[in-house]
Amino acid sequence: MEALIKVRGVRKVYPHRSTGRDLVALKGIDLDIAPNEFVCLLGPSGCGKTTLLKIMDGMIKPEAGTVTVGGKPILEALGDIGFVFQDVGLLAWRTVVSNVGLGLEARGLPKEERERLAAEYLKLVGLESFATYHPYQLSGGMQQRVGLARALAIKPKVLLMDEPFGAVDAMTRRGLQIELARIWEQNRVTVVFVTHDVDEALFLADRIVVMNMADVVKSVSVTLPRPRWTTDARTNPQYVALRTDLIGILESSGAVAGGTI
Amino acid sequence: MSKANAAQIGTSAAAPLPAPTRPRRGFFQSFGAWFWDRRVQILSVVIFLTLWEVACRNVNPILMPTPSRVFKAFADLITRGTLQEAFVISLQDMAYGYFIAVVIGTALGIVMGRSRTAEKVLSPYVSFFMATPTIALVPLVIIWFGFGLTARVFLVATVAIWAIAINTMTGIKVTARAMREVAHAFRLSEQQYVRWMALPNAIPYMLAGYRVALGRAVVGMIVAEMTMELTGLGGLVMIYGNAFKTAHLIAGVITSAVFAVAVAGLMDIISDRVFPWIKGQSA
Repeated sequence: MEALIKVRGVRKVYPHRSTGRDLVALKGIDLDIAPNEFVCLLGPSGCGKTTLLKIMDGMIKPEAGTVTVGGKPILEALGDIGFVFQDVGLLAWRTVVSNVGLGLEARGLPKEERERLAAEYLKLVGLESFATYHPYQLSGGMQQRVGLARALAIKPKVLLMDEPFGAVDAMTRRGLQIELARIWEQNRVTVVFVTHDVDEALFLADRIVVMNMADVVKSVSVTLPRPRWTTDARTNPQYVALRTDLIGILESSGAVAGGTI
Repeated sequence: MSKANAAQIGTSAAAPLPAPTRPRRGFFQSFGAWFWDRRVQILSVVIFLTLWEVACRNVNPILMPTPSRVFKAFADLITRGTLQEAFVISLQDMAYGYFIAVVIGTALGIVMGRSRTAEKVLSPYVSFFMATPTIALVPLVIIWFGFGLTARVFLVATVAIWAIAINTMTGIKVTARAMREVAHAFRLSEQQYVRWMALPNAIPYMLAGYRVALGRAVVGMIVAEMTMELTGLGGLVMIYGNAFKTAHLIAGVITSAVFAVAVAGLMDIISDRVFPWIKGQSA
């Protein structure tokens, strides 16, 4: 199948003025992502995974290389991309429903239309009864779900997610992962999901791209059956074998991997 | 806060929260509760007034009158209508001057916050006027505008504008990088970015600027009324000072202070009502 997202030779360097020693964030990445594929970029912090994700949304310009989405260069394809941030970035002065409608409002949709769509996506993330609340009245997990609804409301072809569940507690994270898996199984957009959590990647991904030291180390297909939220999913021998492999790959690439890294 | 805490439970089946209800109380009950909540402050004031009364009983009232004399002076000023008259004039000076300062200061701050060039061109003047002592401007203002309302309003506005401009500019400039990334991800235009993100994000800073400017404006008002045409609360204080009617003078000072505190309190109440998310954010 023709890849939807094509990353070709993407290189990014952060100059370090005082020492003159520049930090190479990405060494020249090639990556193909198929339509409707759920890909996790897995790696330790500082490996360049978030930089790569932000380059895929045109937020950061690479020194070299290109990213195309559906054959179009990234800046022409921005309308097809939704982004979920680690720190959510909700507008504190807007109600929940008005936050979800942000992208639609920017596109000039009439008020009724965008409120109808926003309500629909709020329902999808299970927050329809919180439409008139302000973000500060919600918990961290609920705010993250508003962020997801906001990104989905523009009906993107590609959803980019930057460690969206990194800042919430373990129990909330589990709930959010299940919620995301459920939503994705209903509505299979292409997802690129950045994480440093091996179990999170195994729970969500069709394919895990392991990164370390500014480079792609390996790409691993995850053929585990879905849904994966059954209690015995983590004791499944195939799961255990994949997990052991991934930790082995991370450790041999130089990352310190003690289960969750 | 109870509302926010209650909203944090549950991850999937989220139910709407009941509106926060306060137990309904009768007028006298809530009046009593108000006093009970502030019992320490009230006791402190009562003790202070008692000590003042005892300490000054045998002091020449021109040097320092007792609180009971000040109270009598209040009654005298109110029955003769002098206090009300002065108060209305002061209110008028403040209202015009402060309003002008808010409009011009906010506009200036927005321009300086969005344009590097505007900031570079204007910031020396803003810093200069911010540092200029109010009283030093009085002779110049008299030369330009004479002694009337225009001169007083001009002085009030001139001392208040700069704090507003600086705070608004800071608020606009600090819009977090995270916000800019959100603006990029959802393809906001420059105009949408300013209207939907930079400006609302600056509101807490602007409100802080309005508070600082309010204090400066009250000083400007009193100075103007004392040094130009003797009028308003400033004029009242000056006139009774010259006449050695110390109790009346103190009554005028207290009224000015109460006036400033009341306006500041009113601003807090309005901003809490209009922008509830500011308190929520910092809580």
